[in-house]
Amino acid sequence: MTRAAVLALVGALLVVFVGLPLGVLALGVDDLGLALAEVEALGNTVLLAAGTALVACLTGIPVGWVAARRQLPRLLEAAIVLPYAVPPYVTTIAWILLANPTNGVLTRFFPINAYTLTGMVGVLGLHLSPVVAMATRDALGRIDPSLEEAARVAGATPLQVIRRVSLPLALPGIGAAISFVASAAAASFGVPYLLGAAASPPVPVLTLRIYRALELSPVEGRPLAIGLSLVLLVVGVALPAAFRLLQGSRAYATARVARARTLPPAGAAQAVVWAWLALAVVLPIGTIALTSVAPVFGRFDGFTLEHWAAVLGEPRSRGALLRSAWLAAAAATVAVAVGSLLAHAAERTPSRAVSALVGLARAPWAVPGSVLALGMILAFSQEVRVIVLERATFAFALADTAWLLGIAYVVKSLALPLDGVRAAVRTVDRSLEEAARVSGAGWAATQWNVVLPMLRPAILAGWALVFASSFCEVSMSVLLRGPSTEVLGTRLFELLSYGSPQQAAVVAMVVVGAVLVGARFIAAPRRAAGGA
Amino acid sequence: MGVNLRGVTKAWGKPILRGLDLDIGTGEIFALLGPSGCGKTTALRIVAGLETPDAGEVRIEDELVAGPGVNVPTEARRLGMVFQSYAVWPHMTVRENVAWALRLRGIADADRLASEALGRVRLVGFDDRFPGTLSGGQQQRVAIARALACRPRVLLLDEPLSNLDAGLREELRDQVAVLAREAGLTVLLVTHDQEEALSMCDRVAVIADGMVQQCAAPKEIYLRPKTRFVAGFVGILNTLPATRRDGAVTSPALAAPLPSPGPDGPVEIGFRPEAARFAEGGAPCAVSRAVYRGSFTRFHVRADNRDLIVDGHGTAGGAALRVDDAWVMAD
Repeated sequence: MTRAAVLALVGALLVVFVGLPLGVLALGVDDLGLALAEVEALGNTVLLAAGTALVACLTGIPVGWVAARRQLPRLLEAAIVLPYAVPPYVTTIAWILLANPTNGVLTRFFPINAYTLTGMVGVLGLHLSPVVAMATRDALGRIDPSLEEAARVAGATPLQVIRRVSLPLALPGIGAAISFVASAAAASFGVPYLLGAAASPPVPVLTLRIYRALELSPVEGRPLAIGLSLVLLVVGVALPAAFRLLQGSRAYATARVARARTLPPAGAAQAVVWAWLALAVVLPIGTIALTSVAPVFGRFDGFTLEHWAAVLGEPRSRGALLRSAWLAAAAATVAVAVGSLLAHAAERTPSRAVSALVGLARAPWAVPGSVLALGMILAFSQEVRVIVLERATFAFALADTAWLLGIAYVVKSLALPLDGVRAAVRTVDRSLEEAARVSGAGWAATQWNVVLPMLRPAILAGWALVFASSFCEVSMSVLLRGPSTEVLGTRLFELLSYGSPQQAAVVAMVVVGAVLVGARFIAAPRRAAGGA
Repeated sequence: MGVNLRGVTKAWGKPILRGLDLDIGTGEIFALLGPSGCGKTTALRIVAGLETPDAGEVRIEDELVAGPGVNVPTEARRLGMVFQSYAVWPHMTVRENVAWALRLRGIADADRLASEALGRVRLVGFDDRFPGTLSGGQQQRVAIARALACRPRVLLLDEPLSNLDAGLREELRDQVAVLAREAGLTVLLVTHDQEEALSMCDRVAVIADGMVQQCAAPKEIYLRPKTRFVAGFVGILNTLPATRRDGAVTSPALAAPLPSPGPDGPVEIGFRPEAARFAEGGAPCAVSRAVYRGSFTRFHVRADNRDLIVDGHGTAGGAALRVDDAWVMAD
């Protein structure tokens, strides 16, 4: 098959599986009144987004600052991503154990309650703070040190330097991270599901209302769900975009010969990072780990493996675990293949058609999972029969199958390998390919022997990212899974709500394990790229 | 007076500065010249207070700014500095760059003074532009205006012209020297470009391995270098064997004996390419190659088994070499 044919096929698939769901959703809007009446959910979503952004800034900016200006131990530097790598519903389980009003371990000492909007903001804020921390670190790292030194020589105190030079220069980078955090908070499902729905009084948010509308009545609930989706899109996507526009995207050209910064040893400053990691990772995951092996729920003495044995021996949990694993692996493989193809095409043979396809492939990443899932339901709930020559009948019935879940995973995270590989392709000088061609290698041989080896780190990282996000996925899964296609995230929720919280802790530990393995994959190529 | 460094040492794993002594007079334009990695930038940054010395003392206008138990922060040293990478704040307009620096010093009427300062470096009509829209040379003018506007006690120049094109470099070099002289500023210039150091400065200190090799006026550095390193670093070095007897050095190439105290015996003389010419009765030599360079011709010459370079104005060389100005090599 020629390259063009492959691209055309990918394009057709993208139109069907991305264009169709989003298009059906957009065309399906007919009564916004219902959705706009959900003032409480809308207000809570805005508060959740704003509060989460605030918490992420208050914790992430100091951490990023220390990481940019002090020589942190290697392992600590690598650990900054961890709170973001662990899915928020995992830490939520720990906070439920620690801060529930009836028997929370911490509630005895502090007046805290996880089942509140504040609780949701805290959990999501800590979860998303690495995004702000890493953006801060990178933005500060890009500043030519002599810009700050010039201010010092001119008579500015260290504080004035921060306020008038460092922060303004870093702000465009940090601002982008803040708007991402706000969108992610507005789109989050797991944390509001676990904390908001069970709160008294309940704290509804838009994602939760979409889920409830469809859960109560899969058909009659649709108009409301569609309307809510539109409102959520505006809150979660349009508002941050407007914020970015307002802020302006002035990228400051810095000198080409920026001197490398010699960082002083971390010293006491690393306590900031340690304290933050303790709160965001060590405490919650430690709680879950202890819970998963505690004989009596809520007490942390003694040791038993009975919950582990129960989960791994019980067919439903084990089935969900395996299904999530192979679905995530398949989704990652397909996403990486499609993403790399588009990335290469976009960089090497740009055209209007290719950039339209790239736009289509990147769009779902910005769309909240609940909204995308709704689009999938609307587009593929009906059976499509294609009758060829009155003989063979092909039936496409995707609803409630694992196929639809897999497709949703691919569609949702296509942007990750696409952007990663595209950035890598950009760094591979075209002359390297041309040299291979001139030396007598064909197109395929050039790709295989020259291009692919150089893109391998980016491809691996893309695969790991898609795998991790699909393996832990929950906001689409709760809507798209059928009765027989339970996945890890939905099983975890069920165990937590109706079964054993201790078995839920076991499942959560499995998720954490997968995340830690994945984080190694993701961290490794970044180091290689940094050393080049 | 001016700037004084006494026994300044600094090490990062390996020693960078080993007991540096410098005395720069008020109103003097002074250069630290040396190859990259010789410690000259570290010395400048120690004066600025951007690094702290491990030992030794730094005084600015007789005020102890760094020494045992003393470390006056950079912002309180009242200095001006121009960086190699311009370091013009990209998020402020051109005028704001200068005006903020003035305001930091508590100077009233900053905006008007900033415009004036920009006028002095011939940047008119750029006040409200952002630095990103300016060329490298224009940005460096902004940095120079910013550093000069505050009437600093010392103006520190850290390879200020290295990023600019050759033509622009020469123009800006002269402008900075003129402006500094008009203002009577003490200037400390760090550079690896010997032409820059020799043409701009009253005195030059050649630095190598964290120590001053020679500190003297440009002409003396160039024509009477004390060490082989200094001689080779500031220009092209030719050497020929000679003999010393009774305090005078003679050689077939030398037009006149060089007075030079010391024990009798063989010595070496050094000279610059333009100090030699082809003339009857000199040292016998053979021209291996002549390269026309426009304003002069460069002859590659072999004499006394040594390769020499002679710059002359004719197109043809001769068979004998005369050296008009030379010095006796110390090592």
